Amino acid sequence: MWRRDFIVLGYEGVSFREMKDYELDRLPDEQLIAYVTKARRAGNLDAAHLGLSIFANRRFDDLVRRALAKMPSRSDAEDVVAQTIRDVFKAAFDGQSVGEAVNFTNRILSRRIADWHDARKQTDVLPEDQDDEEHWGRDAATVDDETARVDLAAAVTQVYDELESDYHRQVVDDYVFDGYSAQETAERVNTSFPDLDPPMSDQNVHKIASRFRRDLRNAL
Amino acid sequence: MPDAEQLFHDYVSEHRRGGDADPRSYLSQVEGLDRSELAALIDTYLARSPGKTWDARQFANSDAERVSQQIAADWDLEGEGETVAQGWRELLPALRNRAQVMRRELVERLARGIGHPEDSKQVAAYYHQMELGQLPAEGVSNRVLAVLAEILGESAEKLRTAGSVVSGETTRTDAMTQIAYARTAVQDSRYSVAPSPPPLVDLNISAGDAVQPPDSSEVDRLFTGGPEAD
Repeated sequence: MWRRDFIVLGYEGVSFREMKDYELDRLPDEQLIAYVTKARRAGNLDAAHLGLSIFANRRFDDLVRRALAKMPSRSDAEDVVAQTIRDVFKAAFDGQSVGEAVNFTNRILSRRIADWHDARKQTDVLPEDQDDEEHWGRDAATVDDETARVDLAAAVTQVYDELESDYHRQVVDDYVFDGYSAQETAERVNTSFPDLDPPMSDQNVHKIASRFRRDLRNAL
Repeated sequence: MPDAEQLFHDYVSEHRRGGDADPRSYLSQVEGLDRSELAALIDTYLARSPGKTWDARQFANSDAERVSQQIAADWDLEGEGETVAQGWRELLPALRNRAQVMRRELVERLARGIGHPEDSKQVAAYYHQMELGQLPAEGVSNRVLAVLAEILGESAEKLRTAGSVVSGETTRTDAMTQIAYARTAVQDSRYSVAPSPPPLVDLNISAGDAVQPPDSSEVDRLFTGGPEAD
């Protein structure tokens, strides 16, 4: 099928090929961010906006959910996430290396949430949220200071990195976070690590997972 | 009391079903270390989530779309390419971001600037409607726009113009017409419009209260009584 490819040379001489939405949706975050940056530098704002939309569509809801765990109201969480997405693209546009985009986005989100809590300490409680399910002021039942204060992602990363082998990490990935059963996890690990001796068993999966959770609780 | 592991599995199930998956309703069921553990598990799960697949129809009118329009408006403000007509929905958050003012602080300053620091809740409700592009611009007084313009570092005229723009549906010709109209509105003291009804915001205002009562407050008049309201 005939497809139009737009090759544009921007003011910095950046070659830029405009992509369709379904193509952009297949790009990992890093490449999507790079695409938007290139589009902006090439002066193609329509293409940049489409790339931004696809990134926002992909990430916005989950970022808001994460912020909601540490903030009292949806409008505050949405503000912080909007700022996070804005900062991710600004950093890329300014030439900062975003590295692995998921980690970069996580770092920015954590900083913005911390900034929000700092700013909150300095101002009186003022209403700014009119969501249906919410009401004015801080709802103490929905967030506690400890949850907001602890850098959860850092704690998990630390415990995860300290796991003694790659197959332990795969157990945590598959069983704890990706929802595979113990049996499926054992099979998957044995496929990934065919030389494992003895092979992974259901019981071992349970042991590794509960040790991970115990260590995580200690880290928290 | 359910344990963190069970709640985490329930959370993941809801998220995968495409449910709301608001973590607060799960976190509120546990306390202390269980709560921290659950929060960490949910946070990590969400951070590793592949996210939503693109669907242009679902994206339309979503919160994600609103945010991307606001960021795109920032880029326009930064002078990239031709600026297209922006409504309050895009322009106000973009200006607020440019001025580095949190919504909470802006509301406080706006309430003070229009002489009603004690009515910040009401001002917050009206300002929220402005950011959503849901407050009729013709009802907002010049006094409100003048204070807002000062806070945001933009002209009241531009704010008036933007308020007349229906986000995402305006042609350049329409925008020029609206600019001319807004200039008249800002500068001509004879300009007047019938007061608009107050916004339906989720304070203590119910649909039955939507008709402006005869003794509406001064804040109501400032946001709905037209450019000359004072």
